[in-house]
Amino acid sequence: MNMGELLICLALGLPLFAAAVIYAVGRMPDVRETLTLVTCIGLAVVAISIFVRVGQGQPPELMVAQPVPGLSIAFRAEPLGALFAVMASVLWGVNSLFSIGYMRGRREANQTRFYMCFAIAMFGVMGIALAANLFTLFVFYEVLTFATYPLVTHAGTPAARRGGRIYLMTLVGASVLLLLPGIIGVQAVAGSTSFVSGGLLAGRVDAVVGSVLLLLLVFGAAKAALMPLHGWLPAAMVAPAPVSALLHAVAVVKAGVFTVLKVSAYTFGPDLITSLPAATWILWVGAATIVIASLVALTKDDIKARLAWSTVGQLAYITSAAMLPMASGLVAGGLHMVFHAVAKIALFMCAGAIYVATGASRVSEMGGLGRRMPWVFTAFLVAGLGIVGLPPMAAMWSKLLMMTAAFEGGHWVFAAALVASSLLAMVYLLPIAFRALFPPMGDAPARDFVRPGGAPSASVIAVCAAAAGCVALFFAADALANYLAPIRAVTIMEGAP
Amino acid sequence: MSGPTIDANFALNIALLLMLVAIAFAVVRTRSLLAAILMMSVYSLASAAWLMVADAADVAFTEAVVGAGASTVILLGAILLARGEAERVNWKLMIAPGALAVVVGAVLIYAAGGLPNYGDPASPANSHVGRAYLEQTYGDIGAPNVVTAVLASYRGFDTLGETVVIFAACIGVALMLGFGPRATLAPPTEIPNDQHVVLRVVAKLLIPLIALFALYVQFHGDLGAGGGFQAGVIMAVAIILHALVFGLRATMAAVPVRLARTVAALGVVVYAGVGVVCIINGGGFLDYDYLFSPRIEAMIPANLLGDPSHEHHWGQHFGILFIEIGVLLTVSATIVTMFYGFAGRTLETIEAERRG
Amino acid sequence: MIVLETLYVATPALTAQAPILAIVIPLLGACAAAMAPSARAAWMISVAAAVFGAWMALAVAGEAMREGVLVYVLGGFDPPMGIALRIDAMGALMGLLIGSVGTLAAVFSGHSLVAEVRPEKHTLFQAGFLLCQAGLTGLVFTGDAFNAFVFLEVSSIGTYALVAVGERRDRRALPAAFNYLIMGTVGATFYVIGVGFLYAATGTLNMVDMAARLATLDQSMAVQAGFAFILAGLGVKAAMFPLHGWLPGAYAGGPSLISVLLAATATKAAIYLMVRFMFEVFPQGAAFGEAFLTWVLAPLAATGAIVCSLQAVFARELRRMIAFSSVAQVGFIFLGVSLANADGLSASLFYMVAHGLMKATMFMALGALALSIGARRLDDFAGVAREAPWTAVAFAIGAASLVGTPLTMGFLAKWGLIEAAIASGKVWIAVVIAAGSVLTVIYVGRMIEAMFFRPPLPGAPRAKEAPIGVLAPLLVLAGLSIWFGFDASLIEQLSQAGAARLFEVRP
Repeated sequence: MNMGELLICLALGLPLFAAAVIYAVGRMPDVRETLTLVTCIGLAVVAISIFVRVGQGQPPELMVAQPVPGLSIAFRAEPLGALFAVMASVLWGVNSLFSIGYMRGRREANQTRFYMCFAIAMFGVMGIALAANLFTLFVFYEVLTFATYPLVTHAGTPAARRGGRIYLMTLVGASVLLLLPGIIGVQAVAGSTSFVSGGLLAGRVDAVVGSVLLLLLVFGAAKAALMPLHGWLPAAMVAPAPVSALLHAVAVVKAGVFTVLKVSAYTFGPDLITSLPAATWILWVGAATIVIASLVALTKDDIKARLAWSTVGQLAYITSAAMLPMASGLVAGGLHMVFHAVAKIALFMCAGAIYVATGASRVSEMGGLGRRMPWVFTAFLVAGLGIVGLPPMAAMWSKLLMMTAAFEGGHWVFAAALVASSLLAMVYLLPIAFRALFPPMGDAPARDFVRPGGAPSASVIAVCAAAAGCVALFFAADALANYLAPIRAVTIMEGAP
Repeated sequence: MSGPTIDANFALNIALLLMLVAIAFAVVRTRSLLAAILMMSVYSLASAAWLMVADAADVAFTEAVVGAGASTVILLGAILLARGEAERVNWKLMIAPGALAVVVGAVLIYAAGGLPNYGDPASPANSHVGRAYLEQTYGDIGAPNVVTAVLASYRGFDTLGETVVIFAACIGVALMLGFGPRATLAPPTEIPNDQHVVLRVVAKLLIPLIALFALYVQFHGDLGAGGGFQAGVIMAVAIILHALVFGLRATMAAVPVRLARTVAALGVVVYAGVGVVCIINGGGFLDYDYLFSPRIEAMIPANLLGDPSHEHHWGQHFGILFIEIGVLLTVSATIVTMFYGFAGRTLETIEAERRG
Repeated sequence: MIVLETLYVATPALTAQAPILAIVIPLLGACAAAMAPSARAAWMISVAAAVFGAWMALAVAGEAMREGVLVYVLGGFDPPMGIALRIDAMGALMGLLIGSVGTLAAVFSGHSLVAEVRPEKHTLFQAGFLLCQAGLTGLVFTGDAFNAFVFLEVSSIGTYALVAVGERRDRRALPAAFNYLIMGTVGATFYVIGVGFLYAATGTLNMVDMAARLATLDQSMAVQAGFAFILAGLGVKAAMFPLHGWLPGAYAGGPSLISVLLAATATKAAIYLMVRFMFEVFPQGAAFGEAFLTWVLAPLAATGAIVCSLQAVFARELRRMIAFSSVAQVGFIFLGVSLANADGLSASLFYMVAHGLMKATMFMALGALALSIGARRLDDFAGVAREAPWTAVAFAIGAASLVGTPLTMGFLAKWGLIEAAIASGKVWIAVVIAAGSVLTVIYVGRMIEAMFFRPPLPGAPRAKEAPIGVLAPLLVLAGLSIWFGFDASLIEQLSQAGAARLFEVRP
């Protein structure tokens, strides 16, 4: 076994191993949580190693099984996947730190199941990130769905179960009815589902078949929450805050847009995508989703619901960007995937920290709280700016790139939607922080802490780290863009076998 | 059948078929279960007669002993457990089955148009395999009765399967009805004994004769109509007659329930065992030519029976004999088991079983 | 075929007799079990006979793959005079399924019967069980149309009573068994009427000979009627919509052991025989041919798949849900068959095996739970995963395979079916399969949610983990669904070879 294979084995094996051990030592919370953190760090190291090796031009590969000819479980790292793996594993670490504070602070039940499912979900994410073909990606996509279902219904209340049912039915329904037939269609057309640089289907399909497959695959990846398949995301907000933070800012939703990006880059290829009418339709749907979701976010008083709707809009950025590969759409989409993840996880963790400390879950209840929780609300402000995309926040670059790509492709409507949504984001996010930090005169006095000592320090540290990440990435954007460049560099047929 | 003349055979056919139709309608119409059972018995007898007219002696024989004889006895035993009258059925419930019957009948009539003429020597059934049987049986098997040769040797595997079906029925009935408390069979105890003297005397005479006839049918199968199936039923009838006249307890003492089940299994073992012996002696399953090992075969004079030019006739002859014994055992034991299953059960014993 | 060869070791003499021994040994075992002195002895006989039968089925599979078609002449008379067993890859695959599930079920029966069947009935019950296994094996191995009828009856007659014995657990087993008896007998009668017509038209009962003679015949009315009767008769046995009325009651009411065997093998064997008649005996285009497949079989199968999935969604009792699901899955299998090409048939064969394994797993898991709780309604199973985790996990694996979760055999099965449908240009079939799968997700989701995520009902009897004698076969079955999800080359090769041979396309 060479180094690359070992790395992939570790990337997949560590979370699974962690899940098993967490189950075994479930009765000892300290051991369990130490172990979670150690695994997070280990996984992050592994992911970064893979990232580096991809950058050096030695992408790790691993072939696991071939149940029937033409259908294999295989892994192969490439820039987009490596970036996704690093992002997910690092944010898992941050989030675990936060969870420990949150779950202990709330004295939640079934914590062992919680951490175990979390680890299995990471196993799914790593599989998605490193998958070498659509079939493998699909397998882990489903692992992720089922591993997160118990997390969504964690509370066990009827409301949680109802939310969980919507979550499961939408995701599974879309993947069985749309994604799977799409994948089988690809297999039927191309005889394989491998991700090929330049596009597997390039030169093999006409506009009609290509459009049908593209629609099946993009809408089938319902985790990307493109309207009208977005309903599960607000419904899944019944989950505890750490779950929302990791899964609905990072793992689950990003798995969806990651699938779209991979499909765009490696199944269709930039040239084929541009020629398909369906790509333009998806752009329109994306633009509509962006605007509608931002408007809905404005009306939500529950902070997690507001964040969820904001996510729906932001995900549509990435899906749409993947349809714009004329110039730098794919790179912009990849970057935004990371930048949005960092900012959104920070926001969700802020919401969680506020909830633990004060029991407040509505925007209207947060006036003046900034005085009591300055760190948390400062982080909220920074992360909010990160979503809006103002300098010095990383998301500025990705939005800029998207704009350029949209203009290049002549998609004025999409560009307009981007601008409108950024403005709306300012309106629905920033006032929360302002009213908390700088309450206007005459406001009702701020709520008291329901937990002595306010937010657990582990949670606050995690929140601040994530917010700092938004700023730090601003300076790393150029390097990341260069790193991602190869995914669009290969053009016209070169990669097709 | 040439021309418009109606010969006696044709008239007989028509008469019997009309009779069958009439009885079938009567069975459906009547609500008395006893009448229905008796009429079904008559139906079987009439169809046996009709099969006889059609020159299918073996089938007619089977129909007579099984349809008219054994199944009537068993059904009569069964209605002791039910009320004598069937409930009136709402005509709406009969629409779907009636429609199904009409459709099936229509398809059958439609298909009959495509069948070759009855008795046509050029028809596929008479020209292909059927003809080969007629021509080759004597050389292959050495048995005069082609029907027996086909059933027991050419298609002996089917007959094994049918024996197993009967064994399966035995197991099924035993599982369903073979356990639980019994009342002794009523008639002999209820009525003073002296009134049954005639019955007893006649039965004592008849039972050995019936058993003897069974054995005749058994061993005569090679030559004429008959064989293990028919003989098995007749043998079982002898035992059932004993039970009817002398009481279930006496019969169960002579032929215990467990013995009957064991014998049923044993019959299949005998049949399949013959096949396995053939394998052990180097042949295929049920290849009677290999029934005897060469050493034993050498001891038998080649010209003892049948065509001396065929060296394996003894194997075929004994093979058929042995498997027919297997059939006899299974069939007779199964029918006795079925009879035991119903006999001696009353509504009270069933109730007791439910509670226990 | 590496797997087969490593698994199977036997002397050449034994191998030569393997086809018949796979049938006769369970048969003799049944006789021995009926005569056995005690329940325990009967159980040991049952296990031994089933293991031997499975071993022989393995030998047959190896030989069939090597030689293409394995012919075993019975009684020393070559067909069409005599009867011959005739096993190709397809029959070998079915034989393997019956042998392996039968073996595991036999092991499982040791504990299961104690809980569900009165002790004095055990010996006879084991005998009936072995007869059923012998009959099914004979049914898939034989090359003779009438012999197939005989084995159809061998496997059915005993089964009727075995289902009725389930009355100890559920009184409704009695009417269910009666229903099954009536419909099964009508089906068998139809089949034999059909064979009679074909005999009248061809003068032979051997399937190969029949096919050769039918190819030269005009399609007479008798042949058409024969085809219709045979398909209708087998359709009842295969629980083809709308002839499936007997199935839910029989599966739900019968003792667990019988549900395992029936669900895994009985309908599959009938489907197998239908396929033989449709594509081997009747040359393509004969007796309704393509029109029948496109305008009768496919629409009925699709309706069955959807309607019965919906019935499963709305059923209240767990066993009935699984039983309705079985009818729906039969619809999927027939959809693949209706494509009338090697890809579709191969996918259907694969699906049959996958479905047999997953349903056997689920029913066996329920049987394991029935050792401690007599629950019927889905709600009564709430929270059993806490008391009986291994059993519940095995059930979940079977259920996951049923849904078509990736990395289980069920996924590959669905994948194959959908791909075959798309490749044949029949997208609507792919859509039906996908829609049916979504319904499957719904009812399986209900089961899993109740078992794993709901707290037990207060005051309900507590489930207990089953003893090792039950867990071992159960986990092996569940493991097979997983194993074949990773490496299905064995099943894939057999089903492809079998399908290819019928359509005369060399792989």
